[in-house]
Amino acid sequence: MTDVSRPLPDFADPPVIEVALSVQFEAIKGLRTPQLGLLWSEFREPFRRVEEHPPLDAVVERFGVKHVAIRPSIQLRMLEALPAPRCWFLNEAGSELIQVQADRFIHNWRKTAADQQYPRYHRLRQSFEQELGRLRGFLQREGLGDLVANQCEVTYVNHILAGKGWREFGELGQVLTVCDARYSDKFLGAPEDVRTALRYIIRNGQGEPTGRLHIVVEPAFRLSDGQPMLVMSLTARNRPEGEGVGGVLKALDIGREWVVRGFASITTPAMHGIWGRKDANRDS
Amino acid sequence: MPTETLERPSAEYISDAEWLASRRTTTFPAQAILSAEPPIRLIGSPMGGFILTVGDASPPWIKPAVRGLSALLELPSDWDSYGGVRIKPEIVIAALNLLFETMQYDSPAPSIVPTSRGGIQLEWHRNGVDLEVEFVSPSRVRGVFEDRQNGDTWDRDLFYDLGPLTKAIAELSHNR
Repeated sequence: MTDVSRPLPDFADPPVIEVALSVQFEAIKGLRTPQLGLLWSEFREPFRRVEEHPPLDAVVERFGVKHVAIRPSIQLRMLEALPAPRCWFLNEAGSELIQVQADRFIHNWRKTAADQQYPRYHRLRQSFEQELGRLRGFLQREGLGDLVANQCEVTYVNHILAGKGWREFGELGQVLTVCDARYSDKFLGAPEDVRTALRYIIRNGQGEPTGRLHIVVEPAFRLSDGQPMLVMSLTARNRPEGEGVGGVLKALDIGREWVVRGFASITTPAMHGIWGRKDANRDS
Repeated sequence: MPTETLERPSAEYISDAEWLASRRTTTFPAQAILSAEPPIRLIGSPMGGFILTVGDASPPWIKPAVRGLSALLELPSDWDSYGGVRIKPEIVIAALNLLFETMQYDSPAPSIVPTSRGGIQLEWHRNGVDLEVEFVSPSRVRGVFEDRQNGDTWDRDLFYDLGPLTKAIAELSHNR
């Protein structure tokens, strides 16, 4: 349960390199390749570049499903023609982009230069809100219907470089509070590397599950210089908190709070010091 | 979960006669992609759809459920002579997915009825329990439950939290 009375953790130099705000909605059948091309004209300034990618699968955080071995697990989706692509509309620097497909709208910020500062959530949220409004206006003008949102998603990707607080991949416990390396005997030494995935249930004020926070940490090497790093992604996915764009934004705010509080909770105070944690409640 | 996606695999096509003759196969008229683990196997159909092949070890409710849902896709517009809307394929997919997520091996197959708005209603009336699940759209799913023996009732959204439905179906599945 979140304690909204406490201020959110705040870092002067967070390791975040990508943030994505996303809404998933019931598929709009008429939003196909030609319409996506028309939609680009709405975003062409400042998103002058276009790329096409395969569509993302729909994901819903559901509860009360028990996976039993004898139960077949099947996923189906309609394919009445070739699937419409997921279009990327990128700015010149490639630092911000919009992704649109028949059932998804995403705004990404990516760190593309070492000295680039994270623009902060509220600026990205504002852009997302405006762009979502433009998408809805386009759908209305084209007679394609309206968005019926079913999932909202906030993702933060962090690159935690070796040399600051940790050196070897096996030292994940230096970074994560949940990875304290305690063995039953001395047989195993330090692991060569560690990867971990954790899920937490997001609950509303009534204690009902409304979504999940997914945290994944994997070892990697930075492409530019081969430096070892831990890639830590936090994704909060939850249901809209009401109808319309307001319900989507409220859900994103909750998701962002879970990501930020979750990041602070699962990383060690020593790493907080390296990232310049500055909120008053850092020890609580 | 490892999944395998087959997209009209020509090598696995079988003839019309073969699939019509098989008592263990049932067609899925709308074109679909399935990702499946055994014992369900997917093969392409030369008639443009896909065939869901049900293995011997599959739960008994699968065949009648898939047949019932497939039949709905063949209903024309105005199927009820009151302006009934054609059943939306994406709702059929959502209904089938929900069954796979909540049904047990020995769960009774639901009665499947179309709604005039192009949706689907799944119904169970058994062991003193009445359970109805209506799909208005793939993500607008509502359920009504009544257990006449103990007086339990609920009427709720069933898109996000399937716990009550899973429990109700478990009660339906067991004699008492």
